Amino acid sequence: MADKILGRVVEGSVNEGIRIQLVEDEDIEDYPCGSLVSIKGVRGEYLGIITDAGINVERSFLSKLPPLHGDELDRVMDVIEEWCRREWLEVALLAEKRGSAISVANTMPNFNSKLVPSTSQSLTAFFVGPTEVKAATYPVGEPYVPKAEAIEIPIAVDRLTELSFGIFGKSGTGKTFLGNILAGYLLKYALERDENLRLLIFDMHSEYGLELKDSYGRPLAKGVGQIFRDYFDIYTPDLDEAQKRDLKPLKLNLNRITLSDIYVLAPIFQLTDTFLQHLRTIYSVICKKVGLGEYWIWGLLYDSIDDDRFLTDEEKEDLKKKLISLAKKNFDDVSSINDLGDRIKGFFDTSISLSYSSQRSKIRRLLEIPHTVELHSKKEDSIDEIVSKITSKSGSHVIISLGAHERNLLLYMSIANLLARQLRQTLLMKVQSGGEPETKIIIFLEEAHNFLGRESYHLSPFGAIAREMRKRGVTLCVIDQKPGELDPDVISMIWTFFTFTLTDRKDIETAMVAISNPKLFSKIVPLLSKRDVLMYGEAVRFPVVVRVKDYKDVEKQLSEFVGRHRDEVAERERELRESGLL
Amino acid sequence: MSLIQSIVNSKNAVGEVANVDDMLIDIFLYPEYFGKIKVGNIIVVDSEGDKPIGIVLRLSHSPKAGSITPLRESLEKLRKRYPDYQYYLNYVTTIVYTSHYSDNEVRHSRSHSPHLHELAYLVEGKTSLKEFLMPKGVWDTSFLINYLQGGARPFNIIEFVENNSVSLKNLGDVKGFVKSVARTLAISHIDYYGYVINKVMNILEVK
Repeated sequence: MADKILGRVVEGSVNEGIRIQLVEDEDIEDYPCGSLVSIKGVRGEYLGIITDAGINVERSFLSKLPPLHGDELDRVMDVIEEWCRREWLEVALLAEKRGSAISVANTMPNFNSKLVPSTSQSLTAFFVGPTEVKAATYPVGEPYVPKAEAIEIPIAVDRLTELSFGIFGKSGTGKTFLGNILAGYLLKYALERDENLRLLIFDMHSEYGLELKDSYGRPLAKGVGQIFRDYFDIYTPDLDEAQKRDLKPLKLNLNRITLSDIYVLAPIFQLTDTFLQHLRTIYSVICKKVGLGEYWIWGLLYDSIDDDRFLTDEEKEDLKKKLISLAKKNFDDVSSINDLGDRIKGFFDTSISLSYSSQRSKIRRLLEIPHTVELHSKKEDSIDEIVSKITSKSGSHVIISLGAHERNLLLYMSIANLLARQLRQTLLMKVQSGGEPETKIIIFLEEAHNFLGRESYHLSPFGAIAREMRKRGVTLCVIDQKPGELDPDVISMIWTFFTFTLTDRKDIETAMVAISNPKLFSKIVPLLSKRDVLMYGEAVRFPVVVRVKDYKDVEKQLSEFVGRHRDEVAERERELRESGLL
Repeated sequence: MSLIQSIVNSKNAVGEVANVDDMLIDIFLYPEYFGKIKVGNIIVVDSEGDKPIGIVLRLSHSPKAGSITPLRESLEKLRKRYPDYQYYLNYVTTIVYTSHYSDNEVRHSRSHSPHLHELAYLVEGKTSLKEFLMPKGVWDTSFLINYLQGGARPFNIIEFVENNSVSLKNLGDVKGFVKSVARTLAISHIDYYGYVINKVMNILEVK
């Protein structure tokens, strides 16, 4: 049976998009932007995506309608509307199929080529290639396809394990739901294939580690950390939450704070430029001249030790003694913590001294972060523990949920920076000593512009990870609502883009930087509804807008998978035990 | 009665071709039919080969002698006194040649010119009108383009609809007919066609 003709190609180009005029009895309201369409060319079939739609009218017709008005005008308009309007679609060409060969569209369908209803067979041919067939159990959602039954678009999860990807979109559009889905798929993939893949998820709002919430903050569904509870270690700096939910408490060792951390955190501390200019000198004085070494940060915090709510009184006293004893090595006359302060200030000229005194109070905010202090013996360090878990074969996946500290950017950034630096150092040491990393690591990083922004990128350890660590098996899932603030180098390292709606021009331009015809696709992005995502890049065969699957369904499927997997492992163990191998 | 059936019997002829001037055909009307013919009526000429079809644009009559002598009597009294008075008059209608009948179907284009004295028939009734207005089973009012080209004004379109309204309503889907008329008028660049369409909708009681 011949295909129903829905419209005809009337003009356009491969690069600028094509224009299709709908046939009279088609209703333009059936063709939302972002929908997929099929075009029958002379030699092959084309797949396109609607980037704009409109109506042109013959103005001379309308100008001759007066003196009608009111109901009469409505009645006559109703009669003439079919032919005085020209309904058109602007379509970006995505792919073409000649015989069985499918490629990116680099030819233009001929004039008068027909817009025909898409079929699930043709959509499957375009979107489910050999890689995706293997990965067919990882569907992200369904595209909009006018006049046809849609198919589920799968993603090639293996590509996500090899190259960094990004999830962008305004707040409340569905980034976290998709992030959880992708994290779930990555875990499923790793378990199915016995891959040494580790996820490290920085979870500001505890929606990966605990529960996803609705817009009123009510729990909606389990986060990936709860679905795969046996495979994750969930850390939190919220010590109450840790106790309540049986999570691991996360305490920082402030001795690990470096100079570059302070530079990265400077905007949050609101440190002045003058102080930052002097910071290296201040650091050098505290560290070397006064001799505090790896306790240098306490040279900025020494007079706040008594206010520290995370240290016991005994620890506070021991810390003071420790600092004094370190300074005493260089200066005999230091016998109190105030002497230590005077000794430090004594090295500064008036300008540095003023800056040092005024800005120290801002840095005191570091003490709001749950922390420990390294005194007589090596203190248990959450950061070391986490790095060890994600870099070793026998380790686990890790989520760092902020709990009640969800709005504490300082805390979030401090943890993330320390962890990233430690991770990088561990992997570099491993490589430098001739070894190879035991695991592939994917780091999910929310509010990524804080670490990978234009100013922070070169200072932050995440910048170094993005630049250097891909070949060592570390990739990033960059999650942000303001991609325009990310450093262009970071964007250039992202290979798959998941873009929810954005409205800021710069954000849209950034999110569309790796797509062909960015001008056309930029029109779609502000129009995306909540839960709609434009996906393109390495993990998807062709750019496509999909409505992300209902999270509850995914949660159910993944939970079932976890149950099945647990049973299979138990069965395998039983068999091994029976055969005496275990 | 179908269109072709209307021309089978020459006794049904309403007149004969008196003059042909490009799109305009003057039909000499037999006096007894003069009162029956209205602007907008469809007339088919039983020509050899294709049958020209036109729509009445004008009606006129004049004395054969060139002028009349005033008789100061009512027409009723004159008819009684001179029963053959109408034979002293010329009854003429001018039709616009819009279409033709060929190979058992109506085509809205012109074919050959009719010959003088060929008989003309009035097309009426639901079946004939359907053949004329829906030659391929769908509304086709493109004949109006020729009608307008031949001198018809927007108001004549209203007359066409008015004088065929009963049959039109019987054909059903009058809204489809109105849509087709509207399209034709727009293509013909008729000013205030919206007004004409509105009138047409009123006549055909389209909501």
